[in-house]
Amino acid sequence: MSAGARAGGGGASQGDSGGGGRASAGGEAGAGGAGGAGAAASLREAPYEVFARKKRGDALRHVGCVDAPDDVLARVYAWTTYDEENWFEMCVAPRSALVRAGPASEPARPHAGGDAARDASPSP
Amino acid sequence: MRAAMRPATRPRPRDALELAGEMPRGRRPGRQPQLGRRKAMSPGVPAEQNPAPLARHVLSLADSKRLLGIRYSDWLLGSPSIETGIAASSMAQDEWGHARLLYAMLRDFGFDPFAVEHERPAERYYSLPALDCEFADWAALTAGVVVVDGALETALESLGGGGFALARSRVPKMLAEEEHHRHFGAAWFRRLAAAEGEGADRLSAATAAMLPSTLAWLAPGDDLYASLAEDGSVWPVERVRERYGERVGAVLASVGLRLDDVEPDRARWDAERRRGPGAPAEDAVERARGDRNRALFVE
Repeated sequence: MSAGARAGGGGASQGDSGGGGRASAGGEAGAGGAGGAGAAASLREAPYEVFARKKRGDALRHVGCVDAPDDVLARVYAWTTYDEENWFEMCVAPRSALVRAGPASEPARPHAGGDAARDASPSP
Repeated sequence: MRAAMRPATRPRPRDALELAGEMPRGRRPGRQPQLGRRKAMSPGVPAEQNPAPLARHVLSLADSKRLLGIRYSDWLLGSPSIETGIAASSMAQDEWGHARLLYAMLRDFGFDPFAVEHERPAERYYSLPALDCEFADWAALTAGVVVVDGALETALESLGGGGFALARSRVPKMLAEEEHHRHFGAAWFRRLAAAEGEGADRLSAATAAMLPSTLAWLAPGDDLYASLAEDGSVWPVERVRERYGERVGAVLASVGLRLDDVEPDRARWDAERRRGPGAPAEDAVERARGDRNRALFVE
């Protein structure tokens, strides 16, 4: 999937992300419900921003976002989602860890979940 | 890849190889079965080396990766999130790419990769039994990523570390791509295991069901595999099993499973196909062969 398709679509938020808090790697979060497996368990995921550079020395630029329960899966999801380029480097950061700066910035709001909230949230 | 239409009257090999078998009647495509015509040995293969066991080994890896790609592709839609669906798609494409490279290696042993890829019946597939049917739910897919993909990665590492030059040059890139599969599988496995309840139960059951036949495939312990280990083409079964334990042991422990407690299932073992009885589901093989697109094959 192209970065444009993924970034433009906003992605599917699975339930309440809990204000951007991250589950610990290894699974505080619940099980996926597809096929009935773990249907009763919750899916706690948080938005991560994805950054990448094509070449050494290039600026790290924002390429999109993914929802993930932890850093490990955020890294995998970012790589599989935005693999349309032969990136030199790709990084992910939980949106909750970004500190806004500049005169036009507003106090950071917790992520409310859902596409509308994601779309309303400006890219860094 | 050259995007030229394959001519309908492509020259046919005259002698079918035992690898091929016969296509079932009524499913026969436009061309007659001609799997893996044996050609003159390529210059890269020493005359004194019997390539059969290594060709079978490569074919079993290729078939398993092709089937695993199909099993991943079953979950492009209906997975827990868009991200997981995209990851499944990416892994499916990785597996098909690896399969393609592995099938192409068979040319070194005198086989026609196109015929091997596209013209065998299900009962002539050498794939892992755990891939015969689709993963029933997301827990089964997760178990498959850890157990089956992990076994394939281990076998690939063994092949790439052996004396087969073509594998030594091509396998490292495949292993680099497999790293994402391993992280994906381990993270989801632990996530489901930690959630407990029905998800963990299903995960545990699916894992326990896949392990015996997968271990038998990974470390066959038969003469064919032993000959490969002896000539340095692959690692000995002990080393393969140890590496597999390093790769998946800690993950499996999250549902209380220990590899040492698992008895490989070698019931009615067919050394030729490197598996027990059975075959992949026909619909999966039709997709693997590309039956519906046969008139549009490109090369």
